[in-house]
Amino acid sequence: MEDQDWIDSVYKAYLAAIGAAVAIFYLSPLFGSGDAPPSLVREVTERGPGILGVCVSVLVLMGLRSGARGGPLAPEPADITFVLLAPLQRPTVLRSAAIRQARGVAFTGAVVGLVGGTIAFRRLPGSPWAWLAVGIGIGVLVALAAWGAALVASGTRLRMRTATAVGAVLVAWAAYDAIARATTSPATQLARVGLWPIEWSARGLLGIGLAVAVAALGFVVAGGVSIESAQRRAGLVGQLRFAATIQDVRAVMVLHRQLAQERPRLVPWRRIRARGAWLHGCWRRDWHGLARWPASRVVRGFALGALTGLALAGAWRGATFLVLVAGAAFFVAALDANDGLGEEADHPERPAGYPVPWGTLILSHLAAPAVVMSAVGVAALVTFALITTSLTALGVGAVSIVGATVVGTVASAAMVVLGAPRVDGAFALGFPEFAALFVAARQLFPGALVTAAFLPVALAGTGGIENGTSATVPTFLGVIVAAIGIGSWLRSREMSIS
Amino acid sequence: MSDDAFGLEARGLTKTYDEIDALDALDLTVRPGELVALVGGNGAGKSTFLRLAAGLLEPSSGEVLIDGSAAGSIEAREACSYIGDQPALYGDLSVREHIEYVANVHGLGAWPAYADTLLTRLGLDDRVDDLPARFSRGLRQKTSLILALIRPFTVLLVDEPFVGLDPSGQEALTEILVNTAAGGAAVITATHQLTFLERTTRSVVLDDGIVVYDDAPDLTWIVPFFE
Repeated sequence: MEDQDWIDSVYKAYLAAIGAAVAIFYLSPLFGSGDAPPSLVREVTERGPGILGVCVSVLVLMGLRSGARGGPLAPEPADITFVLLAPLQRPTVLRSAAIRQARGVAFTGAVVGLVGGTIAFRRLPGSPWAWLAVGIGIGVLVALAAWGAALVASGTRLRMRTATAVGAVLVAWAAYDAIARATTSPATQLARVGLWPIEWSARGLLGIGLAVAVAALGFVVAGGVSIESAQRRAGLVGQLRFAATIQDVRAVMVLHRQLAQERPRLVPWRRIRARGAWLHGCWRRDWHGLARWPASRVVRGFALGALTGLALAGAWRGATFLVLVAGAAFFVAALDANDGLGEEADHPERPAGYPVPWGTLILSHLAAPAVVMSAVGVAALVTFALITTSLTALGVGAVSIVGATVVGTVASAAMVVLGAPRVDGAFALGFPEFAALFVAARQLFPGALVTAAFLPVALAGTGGIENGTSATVPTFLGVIVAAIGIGSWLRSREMSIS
Repeated sequence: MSDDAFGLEARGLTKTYDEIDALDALDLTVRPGELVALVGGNGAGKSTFLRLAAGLLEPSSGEVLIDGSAAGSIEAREACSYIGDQPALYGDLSVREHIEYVANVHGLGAWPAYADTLLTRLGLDDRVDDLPARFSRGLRQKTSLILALIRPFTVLLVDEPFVGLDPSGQEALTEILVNTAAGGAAVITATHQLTFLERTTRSVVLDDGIVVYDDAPDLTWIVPFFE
């Protein structure tokens, strides 16, 4: 197993510092400026632990499920062949790997906590140093708790159903706390630590103890990790890191599905018997694929729709930055929905042999995802309407979501077709700074278009409902024009695989 | 443009990878009804030639014509069916759904009659509702072969089709390729399968991207190129 490379660590710290600075710079304004009024401080004190507790419990649930699939350790393929199959004590080898991974996890948690602490002290009462210390501390503890839960699940070979059930109970418990404004669940107790600068609570100590205990238990049972799971993950994690490095979104999605063992159903939900082959058979082909979506992907689609609606409702009430969450959630759902086109892009030898131009085939693959995104849009709209309970909001939200559905379907298709950005092309612009800007713009543009469709909701939240309603139609027309432009560009695409 | 009822025609075909010639000014013509074995050692240029003819690679110089049209054009794609050495199959479709889609995209309607015959001959008739993404290498290869054969074509390009097939599958495939050529298609098969050469009408031996033998199959001449 690899030794610690200090140069590598220093480089990671350097990147983390830049990332944290950028996050603070861009996120801080989204939370407003000036001292928070007493009513807001009271709201944060009462509701904060509950909401933070739900977030903590969701991370633990994700950790447990990851562990049930063999995570979080991901040895190199060569390590499995030459180290784990060697006559060495596996627990010793795996524990040392776990310690190295724990350092990285704790560091990531500390950076996220630092960003949170920095944003908090700008508006909330309490010493800045206390907020920073608490932010870093809770970031580390939450990260280690989720990571430890994953290691416990994999080390004890917990079944997926059990892991999901345990995690779901924790989430439900934390959700109860959030609704009842109570502090009974382990996650809420840990979350209490996050508000220590404005309200001391001894229950936070119990939360800290539990988080440390889970991480420690993970170390103890780390030796029980399944060699079969480790082998399966080994190659995939390496590929996933590479795909993420080159920013190949489709590859990241596919590899993540493989890591999560998210496979098409052997028996479709419903057999597609209808005749007809319009759109070169793409319509029918894509429904065949959709009918085999695993339950987890179906649930994820509706959950992303609901999250979009929830975030839009927050934006409608003034939390403008939530429009970014809505845009991101809706765009991720659209990427999932474009799976038929993704399959073509994954196997370019097939469409390269069809007597249909690639651009025409791409457009033919957009019909089924548009229907799927309409369903996701309905989930978003229902959630939005249930929270805002206003006809004006419903009107603005409905038009915005329709626009996002159209532009999201087309823009995510462009993302799938484009693949990883070609750095050599970007560097042809002359300066590395331009290359970085070019790559960032290319990768963010499709998602930004979806977010733009939600602008009327954000404008209503910040500048008053009048602003939102007057911006609704122009914004809708703007995103439709953008969708038509992208569609025309997609139609002109030619297959290039050599 | 020469005619002779078309088929495949390569003229001065060169493909260079990082200053290494995978193919060097290759000239080759295969007429309808011919069953040609493309043989040669590893790295001789067989797969490169087939991928160029399928329009999957672009030549460094020269050209390949499929029924008189440039490889990779819509007309060439209508006429040419290609089976790669690695089966390319969708992860979310069953064998039946693959066949339906490929048939639809080629304008054949939902289910070509020939599909049932092929499924039976290659032993996949009881796996038609299964996902080939979860098949063994051999079964995926058979699925890939069926998809290439159900669609209309006049030129068939096949790269190492016998790899991973069991003996009965190899035998069935040989018969299918022989019958396909007898039916009027130009069939070019890159292979290391010596027994298959005896069934072909012509063997073309490549060595370092150059044609060194082009005649009726003569194993005494050809076998040294496998060593």
